[in-house]
Amino acid sequence: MKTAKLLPLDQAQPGMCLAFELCDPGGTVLLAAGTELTAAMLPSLAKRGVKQVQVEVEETLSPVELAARREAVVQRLDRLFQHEGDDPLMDRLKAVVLAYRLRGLE
Amino acid sequence: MSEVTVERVLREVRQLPSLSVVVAEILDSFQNEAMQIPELVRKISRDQALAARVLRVANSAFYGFPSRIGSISEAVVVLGFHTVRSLALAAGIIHQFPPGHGKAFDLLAFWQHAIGVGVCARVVANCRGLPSEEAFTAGLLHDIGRLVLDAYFRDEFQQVLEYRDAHDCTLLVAEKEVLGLDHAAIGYEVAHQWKFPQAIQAAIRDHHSPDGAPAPLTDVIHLANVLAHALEIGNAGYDRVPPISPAAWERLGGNWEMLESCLPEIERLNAGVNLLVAEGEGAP
Repeated sequence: MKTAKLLPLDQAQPGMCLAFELCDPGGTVLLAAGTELTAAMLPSLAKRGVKQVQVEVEETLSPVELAARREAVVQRLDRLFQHEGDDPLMDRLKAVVLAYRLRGLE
Repeated sequence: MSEVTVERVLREVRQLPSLSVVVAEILDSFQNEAMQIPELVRKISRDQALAARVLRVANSAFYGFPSRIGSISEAVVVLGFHTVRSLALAAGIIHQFPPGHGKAFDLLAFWQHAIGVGVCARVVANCRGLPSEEAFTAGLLHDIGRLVLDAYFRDEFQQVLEYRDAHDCTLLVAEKEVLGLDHAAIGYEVAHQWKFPQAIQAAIRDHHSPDGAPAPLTDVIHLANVLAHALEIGNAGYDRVPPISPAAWERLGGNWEMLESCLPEIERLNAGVNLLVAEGEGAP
């Protein structure tokens, strides 16, 4: 699963992807979120006044950790979606969020 | 304990100081496309107290940055202009309220929930072709009534929190039971006093009951609040997802594929929140 990490620009490597959009100090968007950094981009970002960037990092889980996370997701949603009586809309929303959460663990 | 009546709330709300010039300009800028970004960044930077509060949030565990952000322009680089502007708005508005002393009310969590609903609202509005910045602002401000309760009705609010814990219900239910008045109605009075845009006033008033005076922005905030709970973005003070109004869901198009497609975008915008564990340096 992906998380974001803030790096000084000189530690950023070509191939890393931006977790957020990147702006210059005046607020102008330089690069969109998800952009893969290239060797050519890094010096020009430095010239534009960029000192640090937020990049995506991949976190790997062992099968045991993975199973525990899944179980935690299911239990947590059961708790969050407790409600009185029938509510098909909320049941559907719960299913959508559960599927999304479990996909996020893959 | 005397009852929390509309009159008592109005008395407090009328005594709120007016918004600072910079904060009022930030609020205006959401509706004014002509406002230049560098100009607004300069204005926020020059208001030192405001800038300091923005940086405090930007440097808190909320965004999970290991190194310090030292200036507004650096914050704009790292977080993007829209986020900084919204943080400045929320910081400016939250600061208008004297700090409450209710132990059980967590201002940092309040702030996270506000930003989470803002992000959800922005994404949902985008999907529906509605103004997304207005939605973001409304999301940020939707629970402003809770700040009034924490600041001016501390003892009563403490009882609300105790009722919630004892009955395992939502805060909204506890407010109605204990106070007879809820944070949505109180928030509306504040929004009215500070002359927020009309649509935002209505969204604050109706975000838990969107069917009385249906409006697109109100529906967006209603759904965004449900999504922020379901995705556990921030913490609104109870761990129950509030129910969606079926009519509001229909008005928003009733489209589950649309909703599914919103989730990754919401998570992306909230990537910082994933890093969060309740170790904030403190509230803004």
